[in-house]
Amino acid sequence: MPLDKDTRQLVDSLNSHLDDLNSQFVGRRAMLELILLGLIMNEHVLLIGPPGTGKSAAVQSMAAGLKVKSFEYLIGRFTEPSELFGGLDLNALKDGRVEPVTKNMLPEAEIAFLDEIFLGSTAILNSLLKILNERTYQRGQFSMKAPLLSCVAASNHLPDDPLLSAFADRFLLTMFVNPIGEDQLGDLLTVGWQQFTNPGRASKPLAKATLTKLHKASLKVDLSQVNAPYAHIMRKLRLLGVPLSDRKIVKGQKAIAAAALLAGRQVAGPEDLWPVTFLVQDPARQSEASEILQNEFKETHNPVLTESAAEATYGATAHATYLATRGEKLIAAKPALSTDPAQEIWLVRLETLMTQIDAAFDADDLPQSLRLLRASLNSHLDGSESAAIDIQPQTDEATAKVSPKPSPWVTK
Amino acid sequence: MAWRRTDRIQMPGALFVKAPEIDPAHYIGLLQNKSIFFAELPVAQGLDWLVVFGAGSKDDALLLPHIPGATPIYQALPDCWFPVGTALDMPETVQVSYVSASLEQHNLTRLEVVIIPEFGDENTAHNIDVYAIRDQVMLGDILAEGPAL
Repeated sequence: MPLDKDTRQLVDSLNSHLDDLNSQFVGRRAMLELILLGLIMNEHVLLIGPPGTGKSAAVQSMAAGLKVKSFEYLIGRFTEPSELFGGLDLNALKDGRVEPVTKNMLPEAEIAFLDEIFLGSTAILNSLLKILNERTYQRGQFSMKAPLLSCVAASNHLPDDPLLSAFADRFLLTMFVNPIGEDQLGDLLTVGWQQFTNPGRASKPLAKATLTKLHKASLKVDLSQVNAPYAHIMRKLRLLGVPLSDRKIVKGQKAIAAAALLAGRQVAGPEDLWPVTFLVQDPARQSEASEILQNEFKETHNPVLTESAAEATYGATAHATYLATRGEKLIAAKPALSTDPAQEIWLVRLETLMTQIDAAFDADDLPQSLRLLRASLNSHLDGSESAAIDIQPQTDEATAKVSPKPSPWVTK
Repeated sequence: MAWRRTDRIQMPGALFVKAPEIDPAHYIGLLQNKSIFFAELPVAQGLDWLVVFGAGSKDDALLLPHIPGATPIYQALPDCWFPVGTALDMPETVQVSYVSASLEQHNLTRLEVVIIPEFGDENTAHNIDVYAIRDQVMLGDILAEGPAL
């Protein structure tokens, strides 16, 4: 069942906001998508990765692009609780009351980014635990409701300490962030330089109401069709020894519901099970989960959360969705006039996409969405060389016809 | 040591064209006249092969022509290109060291290479062809007659 018009508009605005944010980064869309998913679910996200991989920058951009109160802090071994939760109110103390000044501090934040979270002291983590779990900040007799939508935490690595691991389990989604690939270094330098030369580039802020409405809408998503497959996946993961707490399994449904909503579905289906991968809080186990669940994830489809869905599943179906979504956007961006100088580069981009589609699928295996897209590309490129020659399977013939060599390393 | 087939989910960054299945010279002429953007693509050529590299590496900004029958390749390791849908069948942590050591044995250090495994009908391959890229030029700077085939 499709979404109502209002919700559809909210999803569309969220999608364009995501595109806008993504243009400020290289290879970080999946991370941005997961942070946004966390905000819609009102759940917390843990980013694990080496320093300098854009974790802080992504959260800062996300916070700057939202009309919400944000709080950011780099935690160290000697960080005092007051640095996060506010110092004591001396006037209140004179009256015999122990109250912190929480203005602009974590207890009043709607989105929080805590770097090096596992370096926090027991006092910090205990107070934080209550905010994360119960949205309540308590200090002695003082207690207040915390309006926190989502906390995004970062660390270089997962803790070995079982107590800290239990704390880490409060973060529903975990993403392992790696440095970008060698092939993207050129783009990283270009985009990085643009940040120096044009630092004021900011996207139009997204209203808090949009997040709130989407959160409420996600709680109305019908999960009845995914209950059985979700339980099956959980049994499969537990049988393989993947540790997943009951709490996480229950809350995981929120991720499925939010993914379905952003995909434009009021009823969640097998296309929306992929966020399960990010429930697994171990890098090796996470990639193992995406592999062993290939069959369960084969119908994955999400036109908004394209990169995180692809990262969660790594499958051909997700890749097809990614290409189809790119194609739709590209065709929609057609210059109005054929005399427009942008027309030529647009046609070249269409041809590039055609190459990418043919690289991924043989003509016989082309998914329906890409079949239509490819036909559309062909019609736009009509008259060009690409359109004139029909699709051919990716050739292994060239290699197969080469006679075997005695050594595997034959220089040409 | 083996190469294995994978899902073809890697984004191609270049196209490998080999005679006699495809005539590289034909495509050089065709692409040169097709768009000024294609004329600026880097290419490398050997006796009977041609690699057309995409311009720009970000997926949504990459420019790559459509050459039916060409083998799409992706940069799997630094300076090392594999066909889309193939990977080294060994842990990722040792792949760079293995390929570096193997290239060194054949005096191919500090060169970019295209590795084409010979799969035949199997899903794994033990034999490969290596094409060493010594020079890259702009496609527009090559004479339309193309490489000597």
